[in-house]
Amino acid sequence: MDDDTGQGDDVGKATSAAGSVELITTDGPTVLRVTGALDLALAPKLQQLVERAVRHGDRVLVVDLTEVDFLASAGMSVLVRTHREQPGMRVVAEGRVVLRPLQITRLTDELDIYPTLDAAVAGR
Amino acid sequence: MLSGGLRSMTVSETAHNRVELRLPAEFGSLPVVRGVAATVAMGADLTVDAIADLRLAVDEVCSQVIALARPGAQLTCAFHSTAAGIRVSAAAPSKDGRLPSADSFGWHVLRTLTDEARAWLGDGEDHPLHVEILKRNAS
Repeated sequence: MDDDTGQGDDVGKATSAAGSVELITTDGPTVLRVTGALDLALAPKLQQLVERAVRHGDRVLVVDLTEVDFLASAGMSVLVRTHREQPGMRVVAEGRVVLRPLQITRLTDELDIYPTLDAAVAGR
Repeated sequence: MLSGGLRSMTVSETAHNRVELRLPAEFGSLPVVRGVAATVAMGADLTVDAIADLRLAVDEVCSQVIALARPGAQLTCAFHSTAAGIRVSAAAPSKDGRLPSADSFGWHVLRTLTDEARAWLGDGEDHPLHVEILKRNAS
């Protein structure tokens, strides 16, 4: 556990053809900001950054899907897996594009979903 | 919602609507597949939610095939829009002859979104993996 945890260098970013994930450490929860398509190409990269945050001992993770324009099952699988391993995970989702797949799969009942990043960071 | 006359006109226009894509069987092809799925769905006069559902289903169909395709293989994805609904089939040479797991979350999503979903291995030395769905038009 000798990882460099210096704040400035602790920003991770991964991209795919149609999206990106950024790991942002704050004084509060660690935020994983996803943009574009959270599909089979991007989901493994989100998974890697989630694992990295968890290795750093971050208990409360916020996965911000505000700027996601497509949510595939591969992305939802990562959310479910993370939620089961890290019950403190909060998801920011608003808008039909993201909420509809979560509703169809009944993940809206299982995940801790917030309408805005501020609400998710505050936890209410 | 539509009068009988309008409905039959829509049917005749979409009865022979067929689109076929050939792309590298790679994750990077998925945005193209999703774009075409949305275009086909709009042409079939679906609701906004139904268009989004079809886009999700088609992405899943092609994701399943790409994940099990031989590296460097070609993905074929065909959209067939008829009076009954939209049939989408994707195929690519198989990596190791495995079928998608019916227990997986992805397959569960596919069954939830569509009226029929099936996968099989074709004949021939390539052992192509096929995944096909049918989304019936709302009656």
